[in-house]
Amino acid sequence: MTAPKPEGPYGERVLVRNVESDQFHPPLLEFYPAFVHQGYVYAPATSVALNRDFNALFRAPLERATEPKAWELTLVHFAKRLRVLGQRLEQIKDVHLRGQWRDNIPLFKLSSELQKISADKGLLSTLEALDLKSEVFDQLRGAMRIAQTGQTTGLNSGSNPIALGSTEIWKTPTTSKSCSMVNLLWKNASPKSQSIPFEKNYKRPQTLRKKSPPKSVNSSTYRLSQKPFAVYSTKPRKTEIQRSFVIIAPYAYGQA
Amino acid sequence: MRKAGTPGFGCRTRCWEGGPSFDAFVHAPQNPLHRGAPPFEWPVNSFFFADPVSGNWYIYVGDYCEGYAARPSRCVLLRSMDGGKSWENLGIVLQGDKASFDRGGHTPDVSVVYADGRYHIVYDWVEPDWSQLGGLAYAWAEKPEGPFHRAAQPITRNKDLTALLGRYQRTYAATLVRRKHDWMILAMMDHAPSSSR
Repeated sequence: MTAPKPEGPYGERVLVRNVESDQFHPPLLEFYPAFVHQGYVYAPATSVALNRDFNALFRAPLERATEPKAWELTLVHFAKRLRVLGQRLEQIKDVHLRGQWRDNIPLFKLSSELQKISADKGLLSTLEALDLKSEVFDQLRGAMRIAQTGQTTGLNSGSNPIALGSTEIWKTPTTSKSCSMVNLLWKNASPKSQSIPFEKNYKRPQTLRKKSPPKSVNSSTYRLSQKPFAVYSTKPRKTEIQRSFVIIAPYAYGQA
Repeated sequence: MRKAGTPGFGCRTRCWEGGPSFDAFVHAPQNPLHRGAPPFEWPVNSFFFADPVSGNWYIYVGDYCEGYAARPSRCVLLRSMDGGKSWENLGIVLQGDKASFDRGGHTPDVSVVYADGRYHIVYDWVEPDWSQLGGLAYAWAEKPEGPFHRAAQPITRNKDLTALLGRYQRTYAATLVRRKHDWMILAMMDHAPSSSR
């Protein structure tokens, strides 16, 4: 939120980073404190999940910090920009504007440095992993109907605890071969079993009972569009905590 | 940096030019700068402030008891007059007041900005019962060591706020920032109307 003076009065709050937004936002994070550096406001965040195993650094141009779209994850965007810059430099570094190769020495030096970044397999795999996590996050958000894109309510809306359970993901048997196998099992089932609804009889194969996503989810070759997901809940779990990051907001945008 | 449960905290400085990312910091050899001790075992949230007037460095420490809620938390101030080589504990710089809106409760986490001859802070406040009313508030001082003059009314009372997206109601962990034409508070929000949920 913003105010003409430090003591206020402050305007209405504006959410700038939250899990319901269209931007990738890894929950659960707590931000504190923010700081200003060279025209940007930086917001370091620490994971507050049980494992507390990651930090994230968000930033936005200071004067645009009340705009949700101005916020970005610094490493991801910076690394991507460097790679794009390196690729474009390759295209222009041989263009001698005055016909003198000496003019392009700075470009060659910069290109040489950027090539190291482009060739950094660790960085490349990290970026791909983050992209994939972001894509999976969006897919899961849609599948679980929690704050779907463009909507403000969903399964997890409100402040009441919901026994959602830990998330279990497996491949659904969608191929015709899988279906025929299920039908065969059902045909050969005992009369007693057939008297019970199919859903109560059906046991998922052991290979599909995985508490964490199958390895293929984390593979760079995995394509979400080709392999449908299902989401299954087993253990009750409170999911009410959804933290977000807010700017308590603007006079500057005419809302006061 | 926020790290609940950490019994002490240290200082990290930027070791190379390349931006303020986490991997660009190294730990100071004199860490930890401050260590929690009963009955305030958890010095959790600290704010580093380099005074542009005196050149001194300050760390405002959110000083909690173990588990946060058993007794009112306060803010403790550390000062370094030699660029971080040595630090002295100046004691409590901000605490609850029974006559104030916090009713003698919690005033732990602050952020500081110097402007126009004054040191402005925005801080968290909660009533003594952690489950009761809380929010953000403002105070100012003529020196970074205080005394800080607290505004009579808080900036936010969480229970009076409309829940954004039907969910986000509690404000806490705020940072005050000065911009060209206004002042901005960046703060956390979560689901709870109070600090206990």
